[in-house]
Amino acid sequence: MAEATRVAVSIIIPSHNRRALLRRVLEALATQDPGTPSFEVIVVADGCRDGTEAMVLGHDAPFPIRLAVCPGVGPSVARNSGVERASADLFLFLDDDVIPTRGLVAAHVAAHLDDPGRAVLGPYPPEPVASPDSFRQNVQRWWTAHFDELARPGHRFSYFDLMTGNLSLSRAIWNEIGGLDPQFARAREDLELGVRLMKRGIRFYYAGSALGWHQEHLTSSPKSVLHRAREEGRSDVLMALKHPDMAPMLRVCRNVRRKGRRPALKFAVLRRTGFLDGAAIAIGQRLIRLIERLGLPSLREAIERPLREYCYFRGAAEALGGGWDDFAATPMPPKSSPDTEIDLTGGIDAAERTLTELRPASVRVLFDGEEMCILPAFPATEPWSGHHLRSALVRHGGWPFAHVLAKRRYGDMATPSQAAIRMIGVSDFVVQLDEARRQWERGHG
Amino acid sequence: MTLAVLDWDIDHLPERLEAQAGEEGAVVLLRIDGKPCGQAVLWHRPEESSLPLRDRLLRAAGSSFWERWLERELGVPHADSAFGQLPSATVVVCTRERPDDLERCLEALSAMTDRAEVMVIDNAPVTDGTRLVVERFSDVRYVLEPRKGLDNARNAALKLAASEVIAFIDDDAVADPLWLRNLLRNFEDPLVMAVGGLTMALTLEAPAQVAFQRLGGFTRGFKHQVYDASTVDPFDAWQAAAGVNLAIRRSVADVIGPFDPALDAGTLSCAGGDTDYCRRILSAGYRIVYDPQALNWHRHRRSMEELRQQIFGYECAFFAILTKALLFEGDLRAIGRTLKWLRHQIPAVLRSLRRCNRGDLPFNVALAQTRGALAGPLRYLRARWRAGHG
Repeated sequence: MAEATRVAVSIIIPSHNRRALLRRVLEALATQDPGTPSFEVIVVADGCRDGTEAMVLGHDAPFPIRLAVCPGVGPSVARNSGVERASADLFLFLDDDVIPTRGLVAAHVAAHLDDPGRAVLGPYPPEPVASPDSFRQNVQRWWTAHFDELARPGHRFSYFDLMTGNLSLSRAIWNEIGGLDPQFARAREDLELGVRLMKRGIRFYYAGSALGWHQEHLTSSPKSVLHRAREEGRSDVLMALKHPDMAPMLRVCRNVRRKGRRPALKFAVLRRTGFLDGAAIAIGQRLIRLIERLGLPSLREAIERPLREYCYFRGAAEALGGGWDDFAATPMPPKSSPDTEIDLTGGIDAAERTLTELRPASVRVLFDGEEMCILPAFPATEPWSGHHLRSALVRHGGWPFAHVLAKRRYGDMATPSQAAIRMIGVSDFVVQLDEARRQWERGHG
Repeated sequence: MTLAVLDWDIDHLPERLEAQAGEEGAVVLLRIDGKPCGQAVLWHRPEESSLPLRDRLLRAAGSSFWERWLERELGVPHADSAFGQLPSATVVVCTRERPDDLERCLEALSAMTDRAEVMVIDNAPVTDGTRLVVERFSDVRYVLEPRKGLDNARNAALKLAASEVIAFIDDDAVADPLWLRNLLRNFEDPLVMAVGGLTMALTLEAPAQVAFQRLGGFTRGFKHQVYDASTVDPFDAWQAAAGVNLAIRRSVADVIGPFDPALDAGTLSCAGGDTDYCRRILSAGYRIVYDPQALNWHRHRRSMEELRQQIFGYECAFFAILTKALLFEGDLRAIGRTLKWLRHQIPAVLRSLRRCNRGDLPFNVALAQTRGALAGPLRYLRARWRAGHG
């Protein structure tokens, strides 16, 4: 036979000088569950100087491995060039520091068999490795919360959920969208892809069993955070220029497009301080480590936050160059009033059906003609649907609704106290202790 | 002043709250569908007492109750840990000469929904009262730990128990039937090394018990939390859990070592063995979960003198731990924490001296705390010397 049998999935892994980790990823792919559909692996070695290419070429695996070599172009271009060598109709993107569990590939394929028109997101929470370092703990908490939120029934998907560390898409969707945008070379390339997918109305699906373990404890460090902040500043500017409607979601727009002279002054300074970047990052890191050792968390935060801000806006200033004033003068997109209204008087089931039918971007929720809350519109976010409603009422300040429900259920005298309502969703220890104290004082001298 | 302590489900309330003689009110644990989710404090007052009981409870209920209630009304599942594969567990009761309390504790443990190995550590006993109580429970294991000190008893349990998790409960506490199960479900995350539960007052029939509860008692709120060293200062690890209601993964001892025998009841340091252990768990990068569904009930001290000693002891133990961290671990964060304490305590003492009315207490809380704090460092050093040479 001249042509090899077509595989079901092409797994694309861009890699940059992580030979040992990449080998572990390849080994985990070799031990997928029996019955896993056939796949090939395309490793894109991007600017590797650690012998990654030789390791890949010499690697003995029960699946075809192809090697593509790039000169250090960043992950978005690397992924695009991986796709060029892919033969299957389904692409699975994995990061070189995400170790797949045994069911990962099969779970992705199964999700596409159910419905081929979706982007399938697999979780890759941090490998549970204990670290006394607060940077690591914050990173771990962020990632864990991110995937917990995706797993929550009633989660409303947005561009922000799309990450390329463990993502599968059909070739048809990839071609329709046009792949990753090479402008976003080092940061936000995934979110920008998410924006375009959302705008095309491509649905997202979270496949919890497509689990990989993110070895972030080996690949991220406080230092890379500052570099990353700079890249994010740069990418946010590019995002705002490419998708003007995303401005409200981008810090650089919210910050620079304020009234007053401060933004202009800020830029005047920032455009001239490029020579300080290296020293600022190096000295800042040492200082943060020292303060951390002394156990002064608020002081550490007070130093780290502006440092991150500085790097972010340095990136933005670089990307804008002479275009800062125009960028700052561009008005923010106007806020729109809710698309539609639903009234819960007829029951929540009926309201859910209405939402699923209308799929509005934003909704004013009423009960008996009285406003309960507004389910807001966000750019590049899936429209509201019936299955979002119940948890959105709990989360989006449906507290007037709690009053209404309690009144209807128990009568006028049995409603939540103002003190209780103010504390809804608050879980700080000291504040809860205060709440208990107020409960004791209530109705007692 | 005394109050009734009640445990009610919002859907199964009695008609009215019967006021017993001498009671000024009631503290009610509120449940929804059997799950503890909040409390209400009711006072017997003419303008309130005319209202139906349910209305009074709902108006007094805290935010955690309403969060859970709205979720139920809307059919939104509560974000709790699931009951997956639970780890094996040994329930450990460390005790010393409290046979009546211990008997009540063991009765509640044997009435739990889940069967578990129960171990009683009899710490440096004077009489054989404890052994006689344990003999009445056929499936409870009796262990004698002759070295005095609660942390010695806890370490004996660490050594002898074979299960994955050790659940500590105080001898003067009473477990809810689902107490153990709700502690254990939180161990699925391998970084969770300890789980604390909700402890309510068993009775509020003595003014000292009411006073302790009003000062905060063992209240940690009614909301599920996952703590790590960046969400709670390890020196404040008591916010996450306390020994009255604490499960630990036994393997954590391989990483951070045993409990400190120079701390807690039976030593000059008075208390703090649990807080110190939780501090070390957090400092090593692990997590502690607080799960209010894991409920037990604690009999608070009945006399004001005991309460004063308890308040003295907590502060003494806190400074014992700061001393330990600074001198024996070289942890400079203890200095920052001491300064923070001073910033809070100096104004508190001044306020308390200006105020003539001390509420229901016959002693000055802020002064008792300050005395404890001042005694802490030296007491710890002496306790440590004794533990090393005893």
